[in-house]
Amino acid sequence: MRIEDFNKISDLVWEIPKSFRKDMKVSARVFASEKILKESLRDASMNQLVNTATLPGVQKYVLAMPDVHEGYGAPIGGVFATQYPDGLISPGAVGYDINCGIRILKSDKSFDEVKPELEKLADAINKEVPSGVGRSGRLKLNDKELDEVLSKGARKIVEDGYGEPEDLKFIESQGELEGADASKVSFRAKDRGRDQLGTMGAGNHFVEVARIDELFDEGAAKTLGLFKNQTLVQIHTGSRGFGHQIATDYIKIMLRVMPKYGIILPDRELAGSPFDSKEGQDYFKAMSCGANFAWANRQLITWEVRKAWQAIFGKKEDLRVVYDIAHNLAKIEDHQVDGRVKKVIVHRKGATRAFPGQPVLIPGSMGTSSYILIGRQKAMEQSFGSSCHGAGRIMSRHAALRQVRGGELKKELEARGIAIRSGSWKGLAEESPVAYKDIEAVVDVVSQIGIAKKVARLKPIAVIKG
Amino acid sequence: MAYQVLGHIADLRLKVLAKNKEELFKQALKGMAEVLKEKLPEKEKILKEIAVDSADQTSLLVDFLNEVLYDAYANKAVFQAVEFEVFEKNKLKGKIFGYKVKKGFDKDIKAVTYHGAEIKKTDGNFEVILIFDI
Repeated sequence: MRIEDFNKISDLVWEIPKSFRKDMKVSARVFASEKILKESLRDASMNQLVNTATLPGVQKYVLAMPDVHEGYGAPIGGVFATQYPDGLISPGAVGYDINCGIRILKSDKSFDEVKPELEKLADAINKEVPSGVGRSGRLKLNDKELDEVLSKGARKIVEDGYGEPEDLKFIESQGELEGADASKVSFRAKDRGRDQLGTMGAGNHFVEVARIDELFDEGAAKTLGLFKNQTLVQIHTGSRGFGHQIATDYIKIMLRVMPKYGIILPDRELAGSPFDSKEGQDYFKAMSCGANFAWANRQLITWEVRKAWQAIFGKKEDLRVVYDIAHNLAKIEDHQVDGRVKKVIVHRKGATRAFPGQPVLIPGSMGTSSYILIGRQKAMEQSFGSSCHGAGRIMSRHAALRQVRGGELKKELEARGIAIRSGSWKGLAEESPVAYKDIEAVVDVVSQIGIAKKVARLKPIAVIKG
Repeated sequence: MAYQVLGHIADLRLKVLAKNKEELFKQALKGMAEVLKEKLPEKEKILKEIAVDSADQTSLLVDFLNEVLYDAYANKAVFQAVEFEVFEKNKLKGKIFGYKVKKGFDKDIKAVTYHGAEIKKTDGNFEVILIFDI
């Protein structure tokens, strides 16, 4: 695909017309500067975006956020909505890590107060939050307990004493999707998830201690309880092997039943069924369990981080939830389509909700800035109430490994005052900032389009990863 | 015949080449094992039975690897070899062999995807490129 294939709607909005490919049912829009768009043309993300424009029941237009990059099936940073109740629901377009997401906690401490204890704090978090691949968590749930987690999400973890009821108020959907049905989840998924609550995993998942470097909107910051130089903690992880297995199970089921519904798709990874079919409903109920598991996971990690925090700063010190949002999810929502409000099935894969007034959390790559924004009305008009979810990769892990040595990167980050705890040098190198787009440029796009308003910029002071 | 781990913007690509389809499945399994654990601690052996049926042969390969992946995580083991008792176009049955891993895996393969996967015959060999979600 070439830049000439796009219609320029504005400096930051580009459109691939429906006429681009015969099987497109709607056009495709990309939110990007010209530079970001050109970068995106180097991988297969735009073809993957066009593929989503062919899905049964797809509405209005499909969207790519400025952090878009090649994934599988739908691109990462992709958003689309299908008609309710009979449009397609696609497990592959939600992704394997159901409700991979981010939570931010706020402290009352300034960076200056935390700085002398930073190394000890990084050690304490590293000790309390299990990371890496195949490591078990602190809870071993029996069938009944696990089913309760799947139906209640973060609430179950709070009820069990790992958090405060207040925490739930600051989580998307209060950390609990209604309609979750544990009977729609395979034994295998439950088996993989049973011992993984409270674990971070590996890859791009992390816990980061950060300081607020700049405030853009004092009023909004005050409402969120944020102040300049404040110390915060970010938690980025998802539904672990539990969610991965749900996606694996249901993509296989969808591939088998598609002929029954007469569905033909350009990519098997987009496999799906009508939302109101038995398989569509079963997946949605299982996906909701995956989402609840992820919120329970981030809730238990919050407890672990609080434990570490209090071990260093004392029992009276607390961390409170700023907000918690999902990156990979399908949701039933009301949106403007063809001049009227319609119920649609919104798929966000590597994208977040950005409803008006809602905090939008956008973590950058390791060692760079992260942002807290507030969703605006324009998101409802332009992006099915969605925003980007991060910086977005521009370099493969292989290429990053060829360019960066983990040990050297650690030294470089430490020289900038960032404490690093990583289970793997390779893993560290793969997540090097050079492998990602410039977060400032990505956030500027959503801010300038008016989807979300910048509130605060965060700079890392400690990164803990598997 | 062989396999090769290639780059992908967000994930990993595995290219597999073999003289026949059975060998293609075996090499793909080896490749996945190497991604999970570069150096296998060959101490505690493990064997599991496996049976998979799918819509077509490419799906069978993806489903087979996902099945092994489940066994790997459930047993905290890496399986790097397979003996087939049944190997048909959309069905297989056999035993997988590997070793337990005590200190975890090197990489977290979330799943083997169907994206762009197609078993092709070129110059008398069978070839497939698989994307692993990492």
